[in-house]
Amino acid sequence: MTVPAPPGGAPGPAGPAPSTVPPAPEGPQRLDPRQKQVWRLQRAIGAGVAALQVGVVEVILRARDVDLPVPPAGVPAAVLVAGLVLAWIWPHLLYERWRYEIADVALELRHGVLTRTHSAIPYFRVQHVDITRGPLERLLGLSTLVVHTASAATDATIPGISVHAADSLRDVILARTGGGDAV
Amino acid sequence: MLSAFGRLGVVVAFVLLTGGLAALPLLVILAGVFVHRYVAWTRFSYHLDGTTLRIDEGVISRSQRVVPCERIQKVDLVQNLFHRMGGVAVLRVETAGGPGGAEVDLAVLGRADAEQLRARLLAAKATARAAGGGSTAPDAPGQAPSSRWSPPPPAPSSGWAASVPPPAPLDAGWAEEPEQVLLRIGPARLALAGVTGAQLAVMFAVVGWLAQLLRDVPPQLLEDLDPTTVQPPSEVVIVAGVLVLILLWIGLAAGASIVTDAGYTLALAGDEVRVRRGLFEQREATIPLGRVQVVRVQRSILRRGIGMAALRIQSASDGGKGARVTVPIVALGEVPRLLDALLPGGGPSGPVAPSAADRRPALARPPRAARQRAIVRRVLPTLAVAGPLAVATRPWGLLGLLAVAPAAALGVAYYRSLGHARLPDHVVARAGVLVEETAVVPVAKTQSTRVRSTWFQRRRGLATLYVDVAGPGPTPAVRDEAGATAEALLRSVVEDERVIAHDPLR
Repeated sequence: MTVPAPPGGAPGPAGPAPSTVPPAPEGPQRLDPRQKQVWRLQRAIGAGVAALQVGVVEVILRARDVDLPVPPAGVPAAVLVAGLVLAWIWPHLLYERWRYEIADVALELRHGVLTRTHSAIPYFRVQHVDITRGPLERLLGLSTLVVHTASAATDATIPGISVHAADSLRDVILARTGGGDAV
Repeated sequence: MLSAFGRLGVVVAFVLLTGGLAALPLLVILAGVFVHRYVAWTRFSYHLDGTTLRIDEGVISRSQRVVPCERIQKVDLVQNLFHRMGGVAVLRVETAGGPGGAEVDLAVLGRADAEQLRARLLAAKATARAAGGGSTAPDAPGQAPSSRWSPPPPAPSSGWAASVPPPAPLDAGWAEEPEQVLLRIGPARLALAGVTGAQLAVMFAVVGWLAQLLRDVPPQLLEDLDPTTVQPPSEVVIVAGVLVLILLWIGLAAGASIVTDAGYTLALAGDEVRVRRGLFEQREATIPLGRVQVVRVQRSILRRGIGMAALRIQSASDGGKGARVTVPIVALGEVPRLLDALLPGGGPSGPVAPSAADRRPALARPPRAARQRAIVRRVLPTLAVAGPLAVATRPWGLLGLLAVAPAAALGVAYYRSLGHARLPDHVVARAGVLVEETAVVPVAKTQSTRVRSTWFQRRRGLATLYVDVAGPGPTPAVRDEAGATAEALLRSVVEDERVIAHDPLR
């Protein structure tokens, strides 16, 4: 679908001037593959923290002469290994399942491995749009796009979009929001 | 910056009190705070380009927010004591987005700049709304809330002869709108509401209070009691005592209901819904009709037997905050009439409207797989608890396994409670055993739609459809429908909502 032209060449009712609205990507889009690395690092850190916590518990138990039927540091090591393996595999599964689409009337997201979600957010319900970039994302040149509606339950967070794509995606969405307060 | 100054004061006081050295780490932290604040300040910028407001901020994590001007609900200027001392102000820009406070806090502008920016924002909003079909906002939500029921503009000057009484008093807005009373609830029915409603929980408060009282009995009093002289009460006394307690409980619940809801009146006045209630403390709540997002028909297990229900009306108002208004008790037969009056554009006719004759409105039921899932989800946890217990305490403990039967029955009851309907202008979803809730959502009020399926649901080909609405309260959901049905529902809601929301006739 093409972006609707504003009437009479005047500035559109929403979003930046129409001449700057980039063409919308057609069909379901994947995330930037580098997002896998972001997820992996986050989960690896999580695995490290979990292993550390288990380790602390073990140290405390051994200090109190509790007899543990496992070799020293065995459990934390197992947690770390399992966590790292998951941290490697899971982001790949997540990535494979993630799709977003600039459809005719709504932004549609499909994602999730065990629990799958398909959400549709009509453009005219959009209240405002955030683009956030954490430290790791900035390093890799990625952004997270968050679309807000009047409902707190709306699920409209797209991680792992390249900086340029996020900006143009935002402009495309804002160009389609239309008027009024949308409540 | 300002709060940093506050912290500086604390540190100076600390240095003076401790003689310096001990405060060194604090000074380091303070320096860090100052640097962070300063960098954050340099990173913060806003940009108004006529149709959108853009805010860039963040030091390590960066964020950029873009707000279309026509979505702006209100712009508040806030100045606390420190702000006034520094001659600055905070500009709060609110949209309807989400709950919580302001979407944008333009902190610390000069007072004059803040006022000028507010004027520009409001002008940009007005221009954008004028250009972009403001018809979707029939109640002009950008204005102050009070303006909704403000009196009509003063009569033309010709009517202002000297003999005419002075202009209307402050509450003219109330007087002008003729009220159409939808429902009054008398004391007898309120008592019934208390006995069959949440007020029954009052008893637990009373029991807690009694327990506290018993704990406070002086020990001497107990020591003086000679067990040999105290006769155990006869069975008659025990039964009578329990009966009195139960009657007291019921009386208290009924009384609590009457106190909170005495004189309950639900009325329409112009384009708003009003609720008046209360015996000692009279409360009046008002919500604009156009802002009603969901009406829920709730029927507790006690009320199902007597053909009664309660209604909860959820609304969204300025700044995304919302309100909930309740009808404590209403006969099922009256529910259709109320739905019709309360839902924007009229209520659903037909299958949803539960009538006295048709106790269970005919909604579409989910597939049989949902029944198995409902049973399994209740039987498995029961087994997980009762199983090990039974083995540990056999042979008599094995009787505990009988708990599986009521669990399964509960599962069946839950499945039977599930249902949905996709009416021309509404989505209806029903679920719940102890409290059966039928949510009626106008399609024109859905913000977004989600189909969600867990791994367990997908194994049975099921999914749950969520209809996201504005305002406080749970998200209405069509639970455990066939995956294809849920997807079709999502599609139909998304395709229809734009049409319906923009049709002024609905």
